[in-house]
Amino acid sequence: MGSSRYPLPGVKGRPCVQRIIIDRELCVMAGQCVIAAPEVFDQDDDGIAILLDENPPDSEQGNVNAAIDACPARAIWYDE
Amino acid sequence: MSASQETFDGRDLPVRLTIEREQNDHISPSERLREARESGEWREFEFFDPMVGKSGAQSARAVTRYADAREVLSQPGLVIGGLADAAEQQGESIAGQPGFLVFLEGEEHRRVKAVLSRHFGVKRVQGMRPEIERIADKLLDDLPADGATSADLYSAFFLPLPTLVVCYLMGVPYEDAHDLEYWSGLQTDITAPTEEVQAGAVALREYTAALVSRVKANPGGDLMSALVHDYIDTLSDEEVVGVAMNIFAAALDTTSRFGTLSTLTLLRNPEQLAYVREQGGLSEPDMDELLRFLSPATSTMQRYVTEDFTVGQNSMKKGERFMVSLLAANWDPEFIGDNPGLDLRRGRKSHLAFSYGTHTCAGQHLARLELSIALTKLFQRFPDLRFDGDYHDLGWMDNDLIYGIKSLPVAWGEG
Repeated sequence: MGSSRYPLPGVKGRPCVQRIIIDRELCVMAGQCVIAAPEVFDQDDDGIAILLDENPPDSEQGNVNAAIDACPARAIWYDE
Repeated sequence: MSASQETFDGRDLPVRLTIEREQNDHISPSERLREARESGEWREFEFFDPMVGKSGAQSARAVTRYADAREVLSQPGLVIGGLADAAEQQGESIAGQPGFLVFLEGEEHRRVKAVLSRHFGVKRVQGMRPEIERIADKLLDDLPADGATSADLYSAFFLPLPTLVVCYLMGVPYEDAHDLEYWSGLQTDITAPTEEVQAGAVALREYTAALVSRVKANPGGDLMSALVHDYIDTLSDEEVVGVAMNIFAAALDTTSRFGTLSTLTLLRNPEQLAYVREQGGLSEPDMDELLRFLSPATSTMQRYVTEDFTVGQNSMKKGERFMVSLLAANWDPEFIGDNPGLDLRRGRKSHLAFSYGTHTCAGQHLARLELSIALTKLFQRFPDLRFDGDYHDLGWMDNDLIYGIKSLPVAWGEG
């Protein structure tokens, strides 16, 4: 998982976590991502992981890394 | 007792190497498990699966390293073992019940799991907090009733707690809970005769089917009603029964036994208990360290491989069977470092106590919530609580897939 960051359109210059991908088909609704990074992830009405924040700030990097490691379905990763 | 065999009531029992613990502390992985883990090999071990009742030794390869466990449990095409064995037996096994999650795979598993998981999500279970607090308070109020200064915390607190929570969720009268726990408990007890395990499965099914019928006719506001009515298009009638049976079977013995063991562990570890008191209780991350250390579901169910795969120095071929020792993996130095002992200060680790992959425990958030509340209140209410028994004489459940003890004698005050 890289630490490359890019400013997003309209948010010029603000460091963000690299784009996060959630595979809804792989998600087993275990909620580990919500526990690791509650500001970034939540579960929808079906229990499937969703992003609360499409552009989480840099300060969430560690939490998102932990969420990716904790996911028992390996359903979250950074976009290349 | 030879290394490969022991008897119980005259019946040969294969050595249950994937659930073995050291006899001096009753917690840590046995020397045989540690050696297997150090070797890195996936060695063949014998086991007995009470839910499918096949007599005589079966064997499976035991995965003991943390990294291997995660790789293996992520492989596509794993199938729970034992279904063919169960089908061969005379009598009904819980393995044949539609909607009983642990025995399902693929799309069927996903469809049913989605129903359960919806109600047990991280934030969703927080809604159960007020009721859990009420139940814990009431049970703790009763402990010192009539001037008592001692109790068995298993029967007086940790068994009734999740039982009352399940009764609340499922709209079941408390008087019925003893039977529910008994029938469920048989399913994980290696020493229970197969006919009794099957009779328990049938009784649990019949009870649950009757409950589902009543709820269909008279819906309420509880979880059981939601299961029956909201999922009428997604689940068959039999599957609703199976999902409800799964809740009974998975929410009682697991939580009660783990809560009891956690309390014993803290009472015997003054340094960790002092930390708990400094913190004012136990948070949900604290429960994770206790989960890692105790690994109450000591190993996974047996699984078959349907596609060859290789992980590092080991391979498995289609048709081979394996189990993962969650206990050995949670204590793997490559995961946890040189000190695998209880350390509540170490910060949250991605342990495997709830397993990994598609069958990861769906009820885990409720379990953590219940017990962080229960343990916090217990230690607040009884600041001088002490263990008052013989550590080796607690009825350690060495023959059960869900580890626990039969009693936890404690005292407080002048007791």
